[in-house]
Amino acid sequence: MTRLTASAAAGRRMTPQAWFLLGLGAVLVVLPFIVHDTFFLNALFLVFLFGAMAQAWNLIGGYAGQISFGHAVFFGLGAYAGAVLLGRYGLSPWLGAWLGAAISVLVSLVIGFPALRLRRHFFALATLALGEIMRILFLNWPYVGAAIGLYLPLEYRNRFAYLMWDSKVPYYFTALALLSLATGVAAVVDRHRAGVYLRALNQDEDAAGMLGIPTRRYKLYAMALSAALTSLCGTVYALYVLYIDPYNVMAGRISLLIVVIALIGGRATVIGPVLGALFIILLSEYTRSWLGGAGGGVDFILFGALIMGVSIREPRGLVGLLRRRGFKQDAATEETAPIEASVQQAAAKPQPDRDPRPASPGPRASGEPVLRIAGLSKRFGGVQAVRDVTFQVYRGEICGLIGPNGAGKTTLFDCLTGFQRPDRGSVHLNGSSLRHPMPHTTAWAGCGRTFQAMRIFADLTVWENLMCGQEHRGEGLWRATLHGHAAAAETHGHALLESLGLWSLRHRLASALSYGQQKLLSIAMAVLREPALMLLDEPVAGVNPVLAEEITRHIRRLNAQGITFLVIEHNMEVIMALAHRILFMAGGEIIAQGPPGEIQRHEKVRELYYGR
Amino acid sequence: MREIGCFPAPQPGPAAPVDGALLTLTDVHSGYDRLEIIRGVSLTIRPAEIVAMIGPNGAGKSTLLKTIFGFLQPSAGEIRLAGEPIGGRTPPEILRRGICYVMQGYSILPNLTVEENLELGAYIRTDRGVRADVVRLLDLFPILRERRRQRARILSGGERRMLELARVLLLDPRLVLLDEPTIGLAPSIIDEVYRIVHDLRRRGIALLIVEQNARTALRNADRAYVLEQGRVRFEGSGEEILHDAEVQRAYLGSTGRNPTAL
Amino acid sequence: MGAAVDLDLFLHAALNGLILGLVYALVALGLSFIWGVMDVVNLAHAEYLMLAMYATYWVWTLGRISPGAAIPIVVPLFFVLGWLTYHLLVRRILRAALATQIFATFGLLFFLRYGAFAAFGPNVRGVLEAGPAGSVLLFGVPVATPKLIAAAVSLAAFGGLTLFLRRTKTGRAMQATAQNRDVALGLGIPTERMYALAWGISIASVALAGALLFPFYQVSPTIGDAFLLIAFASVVLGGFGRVDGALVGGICIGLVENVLGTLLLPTFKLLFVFAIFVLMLLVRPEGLIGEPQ
Repeated sequence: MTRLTASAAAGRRMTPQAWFLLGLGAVLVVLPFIVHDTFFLNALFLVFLFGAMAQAWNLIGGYAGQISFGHAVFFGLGAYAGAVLLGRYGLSPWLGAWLGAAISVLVSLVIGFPALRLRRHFFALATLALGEIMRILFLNWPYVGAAIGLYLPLEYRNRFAYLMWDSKVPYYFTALALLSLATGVAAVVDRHRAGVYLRALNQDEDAAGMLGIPTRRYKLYAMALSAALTSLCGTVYALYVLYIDPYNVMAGRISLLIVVIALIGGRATVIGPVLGALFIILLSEYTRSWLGGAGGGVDFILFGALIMGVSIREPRGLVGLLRRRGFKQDAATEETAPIEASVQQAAAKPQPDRDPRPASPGPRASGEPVLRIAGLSKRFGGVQAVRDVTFQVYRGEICGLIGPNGAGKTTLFDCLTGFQRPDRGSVHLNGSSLRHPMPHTTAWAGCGRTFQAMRIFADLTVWENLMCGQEHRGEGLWRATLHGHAAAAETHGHALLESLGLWSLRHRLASALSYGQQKLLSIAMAVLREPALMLLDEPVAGVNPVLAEEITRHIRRLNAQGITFLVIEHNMEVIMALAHRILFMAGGEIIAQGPPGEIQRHEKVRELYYGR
Repeated sequence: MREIGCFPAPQPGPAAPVDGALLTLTDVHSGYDRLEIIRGVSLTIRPAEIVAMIGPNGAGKSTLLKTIFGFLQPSAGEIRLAGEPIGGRTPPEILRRGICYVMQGYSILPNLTVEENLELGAYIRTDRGVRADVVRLLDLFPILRERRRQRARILSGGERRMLELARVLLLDPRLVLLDEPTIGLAPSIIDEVYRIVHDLRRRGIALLIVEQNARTALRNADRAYVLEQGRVRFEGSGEEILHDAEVQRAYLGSTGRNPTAL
Repeated sequence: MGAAVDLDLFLHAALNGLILGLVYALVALGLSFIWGVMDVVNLAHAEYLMLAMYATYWVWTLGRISPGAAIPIVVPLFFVLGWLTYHLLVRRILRAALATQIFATFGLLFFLRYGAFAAFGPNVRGVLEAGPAGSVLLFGVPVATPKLIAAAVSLAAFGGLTLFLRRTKTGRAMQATAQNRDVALGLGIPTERMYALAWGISIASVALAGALLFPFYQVSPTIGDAFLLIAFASVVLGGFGRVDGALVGGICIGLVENVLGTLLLPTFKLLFVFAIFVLMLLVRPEGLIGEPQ
């Protein structure tokens, strides 16, 4: 619950929210001993169970944004695993639960590996179909009872080792324990790096990849966690209802119910699934009992209308509604300084190593190429976008890449960073060859990049955005789940934000920043891990001259600290003053290269840029 | 290329404007979301004149055209067509008032035939003469006639531009906005495009041409505006702007020495 | 002797599969159409099929009007329903994130399905004698007349829609809107109206399919389940966004279901359909005749 207790992170121990949770927990523990109404206990059991499943679903569907309509598969696998092991072999469900979870994880990886590549629509459809496929398979598989289903043997009742009881109360606690586990997992993921990365790749997978986040790995991870937790719920459910068949535990409507709950509660929040389960299940159970059989559909009509309403008005669900009412979670404590002023402030600060004149390509450039491109070609959209391009960028220099629209500059960047695959040619970064790179492997090789259209994560805070740029090579999934951001990254990030005048805004959502500040942020994110080579795509496009000046100053400072730059830019004033060397590109080819003055006087350049 | 014949006007226009201007922009501001790109542009276009708008990339030239045509709403300022305010209207409404927009990138429909593309140019016309006009157009542009039944996506860059310009003729507009019409075209095709531009002007159509290829645009224009950072920096006749060294500096940056005219 | 029987069986299965496929194609048509015109995936598509079947049922029960004659009543009604759906719901989520769009149509699915539950009760209803009786011999295989009529009407519908799209001004304007909304706007085409029209056509066509399918299925509020995946499978298999894609896809699905189902394992016939669907998604999401993105 990072955002809930952000102010707690600022130093205080127990927030009002934490006390509330503690109190609630106490109530829940005591409740079944006070209230003996079995209907109510049953309803709460379902609330806890579905709440847990919604939490699990949220990991892949809410945080990672891959909507799955097939989670009933994992639920069913857990249920069947427990039932089969108990029924056929007399093995304790404690074992069955974990076996079911293991199988579910395996199935989720097998499905996820190919399916997570798909566009989101297609992924959702694929999970829908896979759910049906599994159901039909189980319906026809004698080993698990086919259509007849499985009865759980009753002789194991009232033994803790077998998790079966006559009374509903122990089940209540089992489900509560599962909900606590699932919520705990969700909270841990949310609070630590993994949650930030998942939300980032949800918003813009390419940008996340370019920062070095191995997106597919994280999606598979979320999928596996989700499957395991859902499966545990399935096992417990089997022990509760004592009879399972594909219709009861593998039906599409279970998957749909989980999705409804997570959505109405609030995707990508920790409390959302709980709220959603409370609301949906209680509503559903009570309307069914009040209206009898005839009322079987009414609650769902309501859900349908609710979901439509939610999608139109408040896509963030109940949590979103609560936040609107003032349940403030943004630790908006320090952004009192007006936004433009903070930029001016930073601009006014004396910069010790500022040198407005372009340094000559001598002492800085060490003669050793950071980037070596040879014979790079790419045909794209029926046009030869990049035509046999060969050049080097030397360590320590700022190299400008200019040329008219459609010259192929951005396509060149795409080829270097794994967004496009070149047809021919070789790329060497820091001496090692880049073959078939993906964005995140390019980042790991020491290359950073910004994009022409600004790509930051709008729904993350400034700080979270920045932390997405920390070093990811060698960062394990476990470490990302169990640890906050790396100390070195945090220190460096603090310094970066201070120098950019964004420190006071670090808890604001990135979407609240001005265009210029977002530009600064996007550069900061890319340089946080101090890549050897930075590719900047039009860093001063659309900004006013004061900010352009600011940005160029930062680029020079970073360059002095050792980062090599290759910059696409159309603003001639800026690039001619900033760059040590200019590459002029037109029609996919490098027409000329040399110091700025030389390029400005170059015949061909004038012709192609300014016209005949 | 032969002289373009007469096409029936789609609808009667309003009375002639008082000050002779066809299109006036007064202190227009516009942009996307939280990014203001046009920061107070004022300009005038008179009937049947060719006006070039040049300037470095990112200056806002395309944004300005989109604002005039209604793809973007101006956040401030006034746009008047023959005296009538049109700021904030939708593209179909602006089209009906006699302004056509030939977009950057291509505005042809790739999976429809050349002929179908042409016919769609007359979508807002309700009279029965469309067919005859299309036939006449195909006569005027032999290349298009040759490819009339083929899908438009097979057309080369120059042919696409030709299709777009021909399409404009079906509506007999008062003003045509051209967004970088010669980008990526070979010099001979560029000449052809500007020949059509002049023919359009001779018919009484005004043209506002945004160009990256500044010299060609300036040589063909009666007047020109230079846009930089969302504002008009220079304005004058095509000849004047063509030889102004200050303008060249905006394009290629300062060399640190006294700039010389080309 | 064995070979002759097998061939006969195969022919029987193939022909029935083809006919079934033609009706599946009609079910899928509207889904594909919407997807192509405005890039919205309508999860509630099959619910309209279900509602149309109920509408046909009530027309029959109350007015003794055969499904064939009910078509002129049901189809225009559902055209309006589609148009309304656009204006009340879809219009507001056109620009929203993908997840929001999925959820909106998902909510619509619930709303319509359980609305039907509440209105009509959960029991199945079917009137199997509602259609014309008898059968026709086609290539030596007896085919029930209602099925043949259904297939023929479906083909006619495809033909009609294709003619509309290719030959009429509005149809071409619709194609323009689907290919590039900004360019269409720039030509003066009222894109909002085109979208509403597309929805009307989509729901009208699935309603037509519902009226045609009525004699063969017992309708219940959950019948949409079975058809939704089949519709999606057809769309994806053929190639989404294209009218002919829905036709090709639907026929393929019908054939797969019937031929593989009859010849291999009947209980698994839907499984084959879904398996092919998933395979297609993974290997070639743009479909058999679609173009790679």
